[in-house]
Formats: sequence, C-alpha cells, structure tokens
Amino acid sequence: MSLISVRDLVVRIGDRVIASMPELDVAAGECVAVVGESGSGKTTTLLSTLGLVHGADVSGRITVGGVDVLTASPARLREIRGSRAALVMQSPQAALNPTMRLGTLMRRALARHGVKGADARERAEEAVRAVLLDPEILRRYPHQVSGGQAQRFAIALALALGAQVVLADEPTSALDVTVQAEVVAVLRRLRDERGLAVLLVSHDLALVSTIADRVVVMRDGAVVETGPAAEVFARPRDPYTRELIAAVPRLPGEDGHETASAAAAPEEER
Amino acid sequence: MTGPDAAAVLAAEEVTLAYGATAVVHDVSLAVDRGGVGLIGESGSGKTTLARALLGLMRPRSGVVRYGSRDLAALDRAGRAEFRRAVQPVFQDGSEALDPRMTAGASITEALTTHHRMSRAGRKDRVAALLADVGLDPALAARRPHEMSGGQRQRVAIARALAVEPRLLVLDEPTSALDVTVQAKILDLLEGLAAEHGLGYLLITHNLGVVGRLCRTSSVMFAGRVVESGPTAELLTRPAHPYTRALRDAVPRLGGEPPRAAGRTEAAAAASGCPFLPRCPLAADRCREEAPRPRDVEGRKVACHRAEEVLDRAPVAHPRADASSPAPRVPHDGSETPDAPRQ
Amino acid sequence: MTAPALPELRRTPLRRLAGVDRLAVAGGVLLGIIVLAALLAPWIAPYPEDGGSATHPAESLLPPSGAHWFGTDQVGRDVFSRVLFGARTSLLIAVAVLAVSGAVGVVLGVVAGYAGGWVRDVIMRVTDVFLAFPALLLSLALAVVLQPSVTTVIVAIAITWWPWYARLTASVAASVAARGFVDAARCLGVPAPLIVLRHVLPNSLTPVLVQLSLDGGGVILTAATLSYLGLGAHEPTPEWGLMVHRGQSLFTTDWWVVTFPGLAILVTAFAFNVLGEGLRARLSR
Repeated sequence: MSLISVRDLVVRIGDRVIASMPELDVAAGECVAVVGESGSGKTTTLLSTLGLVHGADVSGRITVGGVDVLTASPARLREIRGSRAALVMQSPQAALNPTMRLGTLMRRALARHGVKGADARERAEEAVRAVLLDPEILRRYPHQVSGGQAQRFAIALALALGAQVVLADEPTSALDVTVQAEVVAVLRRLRDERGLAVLLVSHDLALVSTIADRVVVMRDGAVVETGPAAEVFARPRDPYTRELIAAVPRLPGEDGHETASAAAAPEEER
Repeated sequence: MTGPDAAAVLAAEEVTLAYGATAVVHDVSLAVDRGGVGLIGESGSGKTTLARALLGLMRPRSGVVRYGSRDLAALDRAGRAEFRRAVQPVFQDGSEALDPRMTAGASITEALTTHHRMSRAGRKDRVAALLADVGLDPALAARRPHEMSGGQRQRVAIARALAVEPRLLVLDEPTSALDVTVQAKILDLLEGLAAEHGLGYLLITHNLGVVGRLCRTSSVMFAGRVVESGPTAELLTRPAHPYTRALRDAVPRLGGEPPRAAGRTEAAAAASGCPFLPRCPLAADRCREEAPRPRDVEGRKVACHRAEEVLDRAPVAHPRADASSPAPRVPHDGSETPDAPRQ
Repeated sequence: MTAPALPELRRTPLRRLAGVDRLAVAGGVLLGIIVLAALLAPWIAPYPEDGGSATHPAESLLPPSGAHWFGTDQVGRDVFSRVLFGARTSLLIAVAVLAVSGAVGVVLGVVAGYAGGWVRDVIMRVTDVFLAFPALLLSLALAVVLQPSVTTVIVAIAITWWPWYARLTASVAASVAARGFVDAARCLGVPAPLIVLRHVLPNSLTPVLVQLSLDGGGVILTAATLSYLGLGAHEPTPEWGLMVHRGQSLFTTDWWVVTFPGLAILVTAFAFNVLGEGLRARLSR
C-alpha cells in the first residue's frame, strides 16, 4: 500500500498553475525523487502532501498514511506532521528551539505521545543511533551541532514518534559533499532497514540517481517525465531530462567528461 | 612592470590569516597564472578567507601575497590601482554581489568609470557590449537584481568584473547557488571568456566535478592547510591524501554507487600532530606526534606521512560500498569496479 | 544562506514607502492633517492674533462654545487658535531635532560601521558617554544652562537623541559593509568615501528612517516636558507643553485650558508612532 498517494493534484495561485501532479505514489521501503529546478513546482508538490501550501488553491486528493490531507482537521494535520511524517529541510536548525537541549526536545515530543521515563530515553537513543548519530548529541544544544547533524536529528525525532514517511526538501544542497554522503547513507538505511517511504525533492541528479527507486521530472509546474530511476537515467526521453543529466559535472576519468557541458545559451529570461 | 613570465600573476607565499586570535589559514602557498587553478575544500576549510587575502580584502598575519613580483601590502597608490584592474572577483551569490538598489547597468558603469573617464554614450555602448559578451540582452541594463534570475545576476557580476579588463579572476563558488542547468551554462561562459581573453582564474569550490572540468591544477584545503596539490586529474583519479580521497568518494555520481560517507565529519581538526587525524582511517602513532610537512610524491605535494599507502590503494573509481554500513572506511580492499555504464 | 537581522532591502525604500499599507497610511494621513493644520494656521484659526501676544482680559476662561470651540485661556485667548499655532512649534521642534540628530547620527554611524577598527571604537565610546547620561536629565541640564527658548529645546533634545541613531546606523552599516557588493566595489578600487556614499549609506538608511518616524512622537513629548518644566518655549509662544503647564492649576475648574493642548500632544505622538510602526512592518516583510 502506498504511504503517500497523490491524485490529480493541482496547485493554483489565481489562474496560474504552479504545480500539477496527476499521480504520485510512494510505498513503504521505496524512495521516489521529484527532480527539477527552481520554479518547477517540486517543493510545492512536497509541501502539499503535508497541507503546508498557503495562499494557493490546492485541489485533488492526497493521502499520507491513509489520512486524507486536504480534508483533514487542523489537529489531524498537526498529528501527521508531528509523528507520521518527518520533514527534512535545508536549514533544520531554524526549526529547533535554541534554548533546549536536543534530548529535552525529544523527551517533550515523546511525552506528548505518552512515552515517558526509561522508555522515552531508550526510544530516543535508538532513534538517534538509527540516523548514525552518537546518543551523546542529546546533551547538546542546537547551536552546538552542525547542519548535517541537525538534519539527521530532525529525522530521528520523527522516527522516535513512529514516522513511516520521510519528506526531504533539498536535504543536502546546503551541505558539504562529505556531509551530504552521510545524510544520503541515512536515508538509504531508513528505507532499506525500516521500510520507510522516502519522498525526496532535489535538483541534484547525481545525488538522486544514487538513492531513488523512481524519478519524477518536473518543469514549470508540470511533470515532463516519470519512470524507474535506472530507466530514466539510462534512457531519458524528454529533452529537458537530457539537459539536466548533461549538466551534472563529471569527475575526470568518467565517461562523458568531455561532453558534459550544456550548450552555452543564456537561460531564458523570466 | 614585471613581465608575465617572471612571476605568477597572483601568489600567496606561506600566508597565515587570522580573525582576531584565531588563525584560520596556516602557511598556505598558492600561485595563479594563466589558465585555471582549483582550490577545493569544505566550508570552514579557510578557502574563502584565503580568497579574501588574494583579493587584498584582508592582510596576512604572516607571509606575503604577491601581485607579480610585488608585495600586495607594500603597493603604492598606482600599483594598487593597477592591481585592482588586474584582479577581479566573482562571488557565490549574484544577489549579494550586486547592490540591490542599483540597476545592472549602474553596477557595470561603476566598474567602467572607476579607473577611466568615459562619455555617457561611450558608457552605454560598453555596458551593452559587456552584457552581450556574457550572453545577456542589453535591455537588462535597466533591471535591478531582484528583477533578474539567479543566472542573470551572476552573468551581470561577471560582466562587471570583465569591465575593467582584468588579467585574473578569483571565482568563489561562482555557481553553487544556481540551478544545475544554469550552473553548467555559467561554467561554459567562464571557460569561454577565460580562453577568449587569456584570463587566469582561481576557482574556489567544494564541487570536485567543477574543478575537474575547468582547472588543470588544484589544491585541496583542510582546516586551513593545503593538504594536497597537483594536476587536478591526478588528484581526483589517484588521490594521495586520505582527505582528498574522502572528498572524491563522497561525490555522488550519476548512475554510480551511492556516495561513501567518510565518517566523523563532525570531528574537529586535531590541535597537534596531523590536523586530519580525527577523521583519518590510516592514523598511526607518527601522525599523532608529528604534523606532516608537504612533500613531493609522484608529481604532487602532499602533507601526509602515509601518502604512498593511500596512492597504492587508489585506482578505484567507484568502490562498491556497503550501503548500510554506517561509516565505510576510506582505504578499502582495492577491488576495482569499472565505471557504471551511462546513457 | 545569509539571513541578516535587517529588513530585506530588496526594493528601494522610496518604492516601498509608496506601497499601500493601512497602518502606515493611517499614520501618514493623520500626520498630514496635523501638518496641514500647522501650515494653514494663520488662515484657518478663528482668531489668528491669539497665536501671538494678543490678550483679551474680558474674555478669559470662557468654556467651549460656538465662538470658542476649545474655550479661552487665562488671558482670554482662543485655545483652538493657539492649539493650531502650537502645531507649528511642535512640528518645527520635531523636524529640527530629527534632522539634526538624524544627520549627525547617520554620518557618524555609517563611518563607524564601514571603517570598523579604532575609528569605530572611538565613535562608539563617545556615543556611549552620551548614552550614559539619562536623556531627560541631560536635556534639563542643558536647557537650564542655555536660555529657555525653542532653539534651546531643539539643541537640548538633539544632543541626547543622536547617539541612538549613531548606534543603530553603525550596526546596520557594519553588516552592509560585510556584504558582497561592498567587497566587489572595494575590489574595483572604488575609493572608500564613494563606497560609503554609493553603497553603504543608501542600503543602511531604511531602518534609520523607520526609527526616525517612530521617534517623532518622543521628541514632541520631550519638548512638551521641557516646556512644561518652564525650560523651553516661553510666553507668548504657542507651545503645547507650555500651554499644559500654564493651565494645569485650572484643570479642576477650567478643564479645557489644559485638556486640548494635552490631546494635541497625544494625537501627534500617536500619529508618528503609527506611521513608524506601519513603515517597520512594511519594510521588514
């Protein structure tokens, strides 16, 4: 069964369609990547799945863990955001209360879900280990951890509360390559070992190709290509997908190095 | 004036840079001449601080930044003006690098008129020509930064740098704030302009794919020190420093194996011995006791006691990593895996 | 990504100021009415001569009526006319204080913020010295030393007011000076004074403008306080603080003498505040 299911999603501001997604399913143990550049509607699509699009007209049907997001009550939505889905953003530190140790933060969140005492500590440490962090981190304040660690902690927090879905919005683009690699390793592990459904939004095709099972390519609010990741990367059908693939920088010694660059035309004016 | 062959256009010689009491760059030497030189490192490695010193925006605590054969700190007024015309920066984010209150035309005009008087008509023509050079419609001259796309802003910043007809560009992460397809176009543009005008450039980035494409030689910085420098292709295909190797292995590749987590990226640099020690899988007693000095190993300079061992295990493009292992160690069994097929 | 604590300076202040914002517009309209009243006082005041030294002992302390909307004071002058003329004095003081202290503060602040180092240290220490005195006390001391007059009020308030603008501008200018476009200008070899004038100053002004408009009310209140204490304007200058001072003993018997100038002070201070808050909300969006 799909943990995330989107049907006929259309997000409009006035008459302008900023994102449309006819069909998107993410099953347990699967990673689906929505790929595109700024303005493609990929982030809007992701935010729609948590009912986080404001000031726009959202139509269609979206379910996360069986809950209909568009008709859910505010309380139900909060519950989904809090404990069913882990939202991983570019700058997770901003979302963490700076005056609380990470452990306190985690304990309070668990207490709200009725988990207390030794149980809570055990769950917290287990979740932190699952994202490849040392439980020692629970004693630190948000400003004492790096961006990559904060990101992984945000995932751990949702894990401890029983999240089955990870929604990641450009999770690595603000990070160094070595730290990026850690975040990707964590996402892979959660998908493979815990059967989490991962919806990843990114403009980094190389990164996406190393984790996604399926890929949806978006441009200007519309889907231009979709399919199994290996298929799309090996035989892209849409010219835009080909352009995206060609734009990925190669290391020396990789094939395609000499022809890696896109045509030197200026991008279209907006 | 010094002939271009006598010395590199711009060079740092054993430069140490500090903010207050904290040194962030230690004894770094680097020369930029015609052609591209890469400077690779993570955030906090000191690469941007070094760029500021090379641009004359910051004075070294010790060591010398040379423009030609002259010490930058000792230049007279005329020398300084000449240096300013010769060396221009392009920063990461065009929206930061352009005054939000100025139109593109005004920003470029400022560059044109700083060193020369120009008639109003002359300025206008020159602005239009420069915008055309960077692949923009001259009508964009009337726009302010917030009215342009990220790629357009970066092109305007490049046009402004070119306005003074420099000999060398310092490019500090010039594309990392842009969409991938735009990145590729900006890199093409820079490559083309450098070839056309015979420009030298220092390209500062954390993206190994970018230096691989644009720079013949590169230096890798870690914790304020250059840990390895040499021909870029050599560095990336056969790294001799474990950090270069960790960087290379962490780069995700299209259709390749998952990038390899290098482990302990959060560990701080060691205060004594080798700074890379806390993150190094090869750490030995000697590394704890003695900081490695840069030495020549197979055509490059490496600051690692065990560089030969790193090299020996190196010729692997895409090691098959255990996806679930928490922190795969850097030197592995050395089994060779061919590049994954593409397209 | 950098997120400085400044309002995002994407658009030019003027364009943004022109944008529609209810709060700012409400404050602006109210202030506009007050300014208009002040400008047109000689024409709209029913008894323009009462704005000066005229006295009408026979008509003293008449309650509000059709002939004297706000009643008359101890010497029979029309309170409504004097409140209108008083707007001139109060606004003159407010504008003069804000202009003088704003100019001094912004110039020193921008220099301190851009130059940094010892220049900044010296300017900021001087600023701190001024800030260390309680503002009202310093104004009082100055007003005592100098002869009481409207000019004295302006000087006394401006001297205690500028350090705030210097401090604010210095912190804003320091963060502007650290931005990429200032580095780019330095790398072009643009001389420092030009960099400050062209790039740092215009990009540092917005928060100061907001603060200035917020402070207009404070200046008027302070000026009223000084006049009330007999250290500012003196008879027969129509000044609201002075009018309140002269009328306070009559509050229980002839309430209108003190109430209307008091209300004028309140309304004007309020208008400045609403305008300032509106601008702040708009510019930090």
